[in-house]
Amino acid sequence: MNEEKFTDDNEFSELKKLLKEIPKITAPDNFEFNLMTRIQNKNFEIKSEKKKSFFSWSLTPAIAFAATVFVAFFVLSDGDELGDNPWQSPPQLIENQLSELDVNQPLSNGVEQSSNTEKNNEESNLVTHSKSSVQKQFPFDAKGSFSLDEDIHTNARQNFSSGEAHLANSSNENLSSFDGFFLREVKKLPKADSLNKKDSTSNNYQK
Amino acid sequence: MASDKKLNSLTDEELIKVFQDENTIEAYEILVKRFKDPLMNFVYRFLGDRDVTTDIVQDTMIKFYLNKDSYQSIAKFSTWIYTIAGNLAKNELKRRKRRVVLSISNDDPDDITLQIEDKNFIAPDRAADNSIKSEMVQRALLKVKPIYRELVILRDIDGFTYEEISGMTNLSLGTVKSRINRGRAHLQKLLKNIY
Repeated sequence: MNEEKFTDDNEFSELKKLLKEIPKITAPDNFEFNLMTRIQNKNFEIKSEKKKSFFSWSLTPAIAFAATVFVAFFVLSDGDELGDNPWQSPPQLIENQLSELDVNQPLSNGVEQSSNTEKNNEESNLVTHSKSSVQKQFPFDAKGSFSLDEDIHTNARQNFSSGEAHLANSSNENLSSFDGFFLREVKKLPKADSLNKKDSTSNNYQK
Repeated sequence: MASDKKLNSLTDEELIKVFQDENTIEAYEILVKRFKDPLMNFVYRFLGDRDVTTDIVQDTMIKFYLNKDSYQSIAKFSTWIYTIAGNLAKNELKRRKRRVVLSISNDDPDDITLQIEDKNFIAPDRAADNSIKSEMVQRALLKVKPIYRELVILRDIDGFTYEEISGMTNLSLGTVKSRINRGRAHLQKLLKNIY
């Protein structure tokens, strides 16, 4: 029964008439020329399929997921480095040097006690020198607090006796001597005779 | 020249046979001449874009040239070439589906409907002009679901029989008839202001 209804074209006769009347589309004038040129040049690339394949490739879920993971990996790894709070973690340079010092210290003690050879002495000298240089360079205690004022005062006291002052927190190598503040006597510069005379005449005139 | 006249008098099926057997480019050219306009009309009514239509019909002809041996003489040549064009047009529509603003039908998730704003629809009193009428029909066609649209175009614009459409679309005769009927009903509703 449905079949009969579907095949009844008369129901849509006006619509069919309208559809038949609409103007026909024709191919462009150069259609055949372009087609034959493509064939002669063996340009058999199917444009519509090429577009489709590129689009589907770009939307392949697996590739999209992999790309997301790849980007996220780099973004997150960069974020960790940037996320470190420099105020909460000790400076790496100091920490490395102090740990180096801790490693070297027992070695140097053992060497001093056990051997009397010149070679060992040289080594121990080197170690103690490095220790002192590190301590001089970095007077801060890595784990404890550090008072900059105290350090300046002690340095000042030590250097007062030697008659020199040093900039706080400066290494041995870069010591800059500071003589302190002194009153300087300003020597009278010899005045020219003409000026002296000028002074005396002006004084006389005022009187 | 004489051979051209002789070829021109051949049917489509005879021409493709000549092209298949003798690789005669003239036979191919005659078939292109015969089918370029009907295919342009079919694809344009289906997609509504002239430039894309030209590309698709060109691609259809290239496919025909490359795959001439896949045609078997048991089917009509027109059925075969319309199938190629229809498949390319449907692929184009799928490709557009991802880019153009589309709404997916609640009834059938495979079907899509192009969203064309109604405010651009021309008032009925101005519908007397043929070109305007034609544009209204085209707009209405694009509002019909593609699965119905294709069959309505093949039947009512290109004049294929139900059996031929069934062969082209690989659908059963009953499905073809029911889909054409639904498409027409929808189209009639959209075009009720014209007649």
